[in-house]
Amino acid sequence: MIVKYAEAQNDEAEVFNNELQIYQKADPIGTESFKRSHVIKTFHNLEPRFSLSYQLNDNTSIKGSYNRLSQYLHLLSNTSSPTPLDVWAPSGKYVKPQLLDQFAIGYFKNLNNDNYSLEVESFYKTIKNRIDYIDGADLIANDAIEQVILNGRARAYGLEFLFRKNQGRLNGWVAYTLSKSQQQTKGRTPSELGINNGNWYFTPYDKTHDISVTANYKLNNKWELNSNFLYQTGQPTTYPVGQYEYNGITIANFSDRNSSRLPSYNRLDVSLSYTPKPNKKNGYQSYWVFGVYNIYNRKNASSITFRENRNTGVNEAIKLSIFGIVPSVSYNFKF
Amino acid sequence: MKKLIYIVILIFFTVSCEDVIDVNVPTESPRLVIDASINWFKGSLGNEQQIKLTLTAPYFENSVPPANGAQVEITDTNNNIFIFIEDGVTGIYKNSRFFPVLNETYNLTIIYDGETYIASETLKSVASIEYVDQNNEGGFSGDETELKAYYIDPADEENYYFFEFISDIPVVPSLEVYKDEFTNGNQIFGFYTEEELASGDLVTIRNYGISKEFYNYMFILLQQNSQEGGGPFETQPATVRGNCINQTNPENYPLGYFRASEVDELIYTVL
Repeated sequence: MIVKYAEAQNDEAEVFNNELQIYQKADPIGTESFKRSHVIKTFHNLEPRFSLSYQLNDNTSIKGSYNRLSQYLHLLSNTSSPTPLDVWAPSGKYVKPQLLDQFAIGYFKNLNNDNYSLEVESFYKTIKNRIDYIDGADLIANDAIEQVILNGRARAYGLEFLFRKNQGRLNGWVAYTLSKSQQQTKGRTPSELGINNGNWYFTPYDKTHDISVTANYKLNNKWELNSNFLYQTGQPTTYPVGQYEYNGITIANFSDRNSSRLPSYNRLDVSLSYTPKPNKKNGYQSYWVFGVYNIYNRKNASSITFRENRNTGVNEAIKLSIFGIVPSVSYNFKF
Repeated sequence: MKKLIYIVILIFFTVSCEDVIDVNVPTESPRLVIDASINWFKGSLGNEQQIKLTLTAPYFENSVPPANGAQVEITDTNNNIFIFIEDGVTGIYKNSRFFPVLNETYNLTIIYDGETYIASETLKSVASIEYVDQNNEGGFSGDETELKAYYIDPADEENYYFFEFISDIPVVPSLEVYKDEFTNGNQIFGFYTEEELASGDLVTIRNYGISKEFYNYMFILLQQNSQEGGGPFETQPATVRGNCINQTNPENYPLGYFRASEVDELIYTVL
């Protein structure tokens, strides 16, 4: 079932009120129902892929690739709340499919007889038809999502490093990614505001720095020590730029979408694996893992919200964090 | 073994938490905030009205500054002009000769700091509060005092309501907006819950008739400000625009809203 909107508005699901400078839902004039297996809308998209690799010598190669992908499902997610809400909207009458062009180029080298390996890669993506919800959208149980979204585009680019130690008692890797991911949602006409005044803003999943280090040390046949360290730039969020009073309550005044960042996300996990019978060949093989997740108990912020304290009337910033230190024990077997 | 289980459970309680933290937030230059509400209390003449003008302030300051020296007036469709005069330097502009009429359209004009702001709103009627039902075992935990203020929604029109509950315990009033989409023509209630209400406490309950646009405005405003818990599914917060515009300089838009309502008030003594 699809909602129809007036012909006079070009069958647009949203109206921009020029005087008040806000988007409002257009009044539906009716709904269309379709018989089973009736084709409502068809999309055709080519998805070419090219890749090439050039071997400079036995240990070094360069690779490059280009992909075009189309995606017919769109993800709308709000990330400012404690329980992130993801709404999946399919392409259709009001939502065009997303088209992605991705370019990548990389340099790969094996060092010291395959003891170490180094990979450096750079990528650039542009995406058309990325949708985003307007300010103040109500997403729950919203049957007509087209009333609260606008069409835009996105781009992302970055540089990735991966350095690996493949052999020996101590092995593992260090990975670092430097990247930027933004989107822009202009209004449908030059006089409309769009989202964030039509300026580029960070996508909810943008991570400037992403470092991860994994190290494994084999103590002996039975015991192995594993550790994992992560550091990521905090997620983009929207902070207030002021406050005002209305009807006896204090309101936070927010500005550009995703223009601030949460504190960085970092944690260290350590674990010990114990294999009681490493040489056992028949029957099932088992091993224990004793671990501690987030060993220095960092309360990484999942979201920061702002409110007026009801008992004191003072404004507060509230950080919600989900996990502190979590110990774990697991017993694994394979057969 | 029992001790081990106890320890494991205790560890799981350190899992998630909410902390009040210090955060550096940016500050933008001050904007005019228009808190203009024409309230016509049932059974009164409605001649005393006031409009409060303030400016935005940095987020963690304790108060907001008043907007002084503005010229404020409201006109209706019969060309009556009501001029509001500031009381000292409080930013509160008063008029004691106002003449409210149901369904009348009022136009607000404010000249502040060389710029003209305008807004327009219709005065909406409201259903009376019939009675209040008190439940001492309500709320999530079953030990909060719940109040339900019942009223009967008129069936023949689209109605929107704004409820205000004021008591001594929280420093801020409890606000909620309702629409009659699912309850048209029925007897329905405005809901209030407070843990520390004791017998003998006074709660002022007000029901305001509002327009659909004000309902939309207040709905988003309340959701963003976590007053009523907001729910876990809010979208990213953003500036909520009201119905007032800056005619001189549209970029310097004001915040707040110009509302006109008929109000029913009931002062309830907690049992």
